[in-house]
Amino acid sequence: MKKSILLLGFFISILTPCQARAGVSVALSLDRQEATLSDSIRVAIKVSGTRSCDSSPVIKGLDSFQVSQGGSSSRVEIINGNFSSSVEYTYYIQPSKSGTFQLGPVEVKVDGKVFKSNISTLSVLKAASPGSPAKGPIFLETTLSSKKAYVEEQVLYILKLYLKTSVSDISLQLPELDHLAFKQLAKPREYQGVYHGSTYRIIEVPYGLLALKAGNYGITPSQMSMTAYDHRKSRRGFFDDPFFRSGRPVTISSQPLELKVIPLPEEGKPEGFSGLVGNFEIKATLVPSKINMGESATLTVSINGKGNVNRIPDLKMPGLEHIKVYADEPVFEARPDPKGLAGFKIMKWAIVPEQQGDYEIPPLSLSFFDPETHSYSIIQTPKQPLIVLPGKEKMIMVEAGPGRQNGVGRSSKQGVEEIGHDILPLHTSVRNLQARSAIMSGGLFVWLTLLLPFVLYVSTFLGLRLKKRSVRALPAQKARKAPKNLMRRCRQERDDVNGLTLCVRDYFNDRFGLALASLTPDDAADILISKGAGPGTAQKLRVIMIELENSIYTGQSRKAGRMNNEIPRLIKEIEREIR
Amino acid sequence: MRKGIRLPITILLVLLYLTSNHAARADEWEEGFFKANQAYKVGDFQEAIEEYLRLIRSGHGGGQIYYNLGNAYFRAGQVGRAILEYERAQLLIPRDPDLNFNLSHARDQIRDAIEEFHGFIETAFFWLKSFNLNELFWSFALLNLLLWTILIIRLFHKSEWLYYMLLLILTSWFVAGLSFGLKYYWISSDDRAVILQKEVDILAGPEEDDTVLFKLHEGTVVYRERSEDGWSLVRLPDKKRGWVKSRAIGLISGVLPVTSNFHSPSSRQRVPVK
Repeated sequence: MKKSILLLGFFISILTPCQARAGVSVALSLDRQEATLSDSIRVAIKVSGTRSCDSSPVIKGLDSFQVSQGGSSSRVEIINGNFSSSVEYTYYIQPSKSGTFQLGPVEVKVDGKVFKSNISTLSVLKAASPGSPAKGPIFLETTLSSKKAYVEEQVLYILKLYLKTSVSDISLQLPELDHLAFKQLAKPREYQGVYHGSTYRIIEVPYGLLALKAGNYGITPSQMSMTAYDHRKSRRGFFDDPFFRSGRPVTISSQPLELKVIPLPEEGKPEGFSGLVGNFEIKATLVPSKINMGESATLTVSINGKGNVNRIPDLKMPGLEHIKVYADEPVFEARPDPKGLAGFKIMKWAIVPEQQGDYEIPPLSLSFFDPETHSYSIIQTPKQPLIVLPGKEKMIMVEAGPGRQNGVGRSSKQGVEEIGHDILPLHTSVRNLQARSAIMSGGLFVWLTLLLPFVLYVSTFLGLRLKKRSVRALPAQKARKAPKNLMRRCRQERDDVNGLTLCVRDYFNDRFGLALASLTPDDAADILISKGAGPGTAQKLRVIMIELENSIYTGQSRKAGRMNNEIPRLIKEIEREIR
Repeated sequence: MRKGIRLPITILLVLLYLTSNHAARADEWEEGFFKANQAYKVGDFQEAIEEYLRLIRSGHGGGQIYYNLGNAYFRAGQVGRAILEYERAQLLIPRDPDLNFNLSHARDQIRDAIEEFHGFIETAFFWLKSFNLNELFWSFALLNLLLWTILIIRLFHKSEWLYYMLLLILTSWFVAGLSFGLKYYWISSDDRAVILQKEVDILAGPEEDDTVLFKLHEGTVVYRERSEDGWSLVRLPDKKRGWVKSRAIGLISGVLPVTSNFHSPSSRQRVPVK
């Protein structure tokens, strides 16, 4: 139980920060009091009596230094039951000028209160002069292959990093100057070397330097930044790895250099000079040199050399009589080399003779400026003889690209190149030479063509409507004509009672739109009354119709003549009444 | 001769006369056409131009003749006139591949770099340029005939398929009618003109001593706004405007004065459009 209480008290004391806050103090210390411009000085700020600060420490007097952070650590100690805690901040500073500097005090804010540290003095001496044996464990050296060069002449800029200690995270900043271009020529090379009696590990990087304009150039120092590990504290074995050690950031600079760039001489400058500077050679092959008509040969010209190879021009093949020439896309490749930038360009032409005979492909020339001889050089291909034998006429396949092999084997297509421009010939057919039409003038023909179908439609439509109306009007017409028809038939059927009976029936059917097969006297009277005739008139007609029936069934026809007159008179009366 | 036979024989004779007259005329202008082609082939381009123009004046203005005339002008070194005739031919035979090739080739010879302007109608009805007015008219006439025929059939017989057919033809009829109408409007209001002289000054006003605004070269197509007293106000697609002598330009459509070296300045030719 007692043990448990003690342990609890121990942890509470650890976890309670106010326990140690009573005596907060800040101490500033440097790892050396004297340094050179190329040195990196470790600055330690120890804040005792607390395990955390409100903000990062503020160090005064660092105006002439480059500062980089090295991290922070906190510590808790229990010695004879006394607890103490502290925080330590590490910085690395590199002086940018020589002199004596007062560093500090450092101000640290803890729980809103500001605490100040002591002041330290640092003397910064100038860096050792180049070539002096008194160089540190890390230094950078740059050299130029020549201090004088022509415009666009390639100069080697060799950068060497001398190391006696382990480093990591190396970064490089090359000088940045107008009209000067750096190009890395090879990967960094590492080797052991001796410098003024001391063995160093040397990392070498070659650069090609091109000046695009004449003038005197002061090449500012290159700068390298890295993390360096103190070789005195290094341990062998697994923990020798930089991961397990704390390094300090170091920035080193090379010495400044000077380069004088002079313009290319105007004297002797060839016409159409492309600006190519260096050393080059040209080769040409014509394969095959003997072909049949209808076949093609390939002229290959390659330019090889060192210098500003990107200036190698595309050579132009002059026009050749009776020979068609098809150019391939040139192939260019730059090959960076530790001794300078090199490269080549390969150009190919398909030579297609149009006639048999002996031809000569003229030389192709290339001009460049050679800085070694300080003069312009013109190199050219030899004349290439081509013998064309008579052969079968066949389609010539002009191949292009790297797969082309003497017109045999694989072929690749290429776009059709226009060689000439002209208009196409006359039209000679008389088939479509019709005279102008009347459409534009909007003549009768146009309107007729467009309106005729419409007129046809309208006519058909109206015809149908008319027909429909006629069918509907037929009963009325019949009704109108019924009395006249009856009278006419009565005159015709003078003594025929049968005929008169039918005349009356038909009159009723037509006049009233009926379809009766037979008509009785009572029905006739009823119909007349229903249509508005007077009962007397209806009765009269009934009587006449009974008489007609009697005459038919008794076989007497003597009274037909009287009825012949009676019926028309009676119908006239009916018409008057029902109108 | 019996009275019944006399009438048919008379009709036959009249028809024969008319046919032979037409055939004689056809022979005549076909001969002119061959003569012009022959002159072109032997390199007498001026004679060829004369013959083609004679054919056009006599009313035989087919697209092929304008095309051949354009070729003759081109060979005679008159690129402006060649373009003018090709443009005219394009109104008649717009899909002719030879014509389009030659027109494009002739346009390549023009000195002035002027972008062709495409209005809303040309863009929306892009097919209008590929058909001549005749083709659009007959398409519309055929659809018109079909439409009214179907409507007539529907007076007697109504069925579902006839209804859908009617809808389809009605839509086509509408598109064809609109196309024909637009083409008609486009041609009748076509104010394009071609610069015919090697170099012409475009002036600020219709007077010789007016300020020169800019210069145009042979073959450039401009838009004529109006003409006054032998001067024409022309406009470029980029809205530049100015006055030029009317004889220095040739209108692609409409009535224009012929100012060819081979004709009297007073003669006028009508540009046909189909």
